[in-house]
Amino acid sequence: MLVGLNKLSGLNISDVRILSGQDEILSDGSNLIANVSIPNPSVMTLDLGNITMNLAVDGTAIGYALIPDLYLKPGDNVFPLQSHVDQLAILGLIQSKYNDAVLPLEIVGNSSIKDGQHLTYYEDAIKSNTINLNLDVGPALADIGINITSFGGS
Amino acid sequence: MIIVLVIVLPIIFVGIPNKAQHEINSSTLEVTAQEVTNPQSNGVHLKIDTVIRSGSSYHPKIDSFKAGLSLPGQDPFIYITIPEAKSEAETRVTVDQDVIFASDVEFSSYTKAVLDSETIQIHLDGKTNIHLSGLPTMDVDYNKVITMKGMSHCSYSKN
Repeated sequence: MLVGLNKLSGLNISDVRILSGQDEILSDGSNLIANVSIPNPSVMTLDLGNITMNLAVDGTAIGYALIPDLYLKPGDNVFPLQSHVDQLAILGLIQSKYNDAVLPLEIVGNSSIKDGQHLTYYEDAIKSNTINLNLDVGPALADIGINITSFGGS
Repeated sequence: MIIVLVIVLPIIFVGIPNKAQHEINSSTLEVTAQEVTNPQSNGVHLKIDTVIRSGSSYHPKIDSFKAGLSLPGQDPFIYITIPEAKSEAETRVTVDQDVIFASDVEFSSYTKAVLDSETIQIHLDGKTNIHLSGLPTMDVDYNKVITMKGMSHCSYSKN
């Protein structure tokens, strides 16, 4: 028996920062950055290339994210993540349904690219895997002066 | 003389090869580390550190051989070259080579299994020759299910 990656369970996103304005938004249009931690319970090291993922809430797309050079080592791994999200859609979701600013995020792999080449053998695997996690964007909103308690709802 | 040969030859040509095959079959192969790097569209660089454990009192030389790696019941996703080794109670063998996928479809199935599963089974299959001094070369089948411990187990064993 070999220990596998178990659907990347335990993946978590932290240190969310919302970027706004020309000064902050990255050259590729990324308007949200964060750290992503991926535990690797196996003894395998994997170079997965540049990984992009689609982000959705309740099945509705809210953006996409990139983890550059995802070189997964055994044990704990932390990578910077840059994301292009529909900030208005996120605010709308918080206002209408997720008043505590905790979004049930659905992350599905999209592409794996190394040296400009698609690595279909990794793409096939990550495309068929959905990671669900609750992402608290409250602190990131507070950082840019948006207080979620001022939103309606309960 | 003929009587002696009738007794001795079956031992050399049948008994000992059967015993050798049995010893190979009862040895275990554990992967202690695996690195899949330099990913290309048709292959990767693969480094696998293994420990082969055998309770045999014989310590034959095992020829280098080509082995297929596969998921249970599937065709191999890659072939690797296992280097020549002298069998001991614990033999460390490292495979460190560029490999081309034997089948893109099978390699995709393998990466999917690695990502999706808590544990997976990988089969390693090949044929090789073993040499024990004074005896004719013996052909053996080398069929193993690879074991690989998880991180927690690994760090535990180092303490």
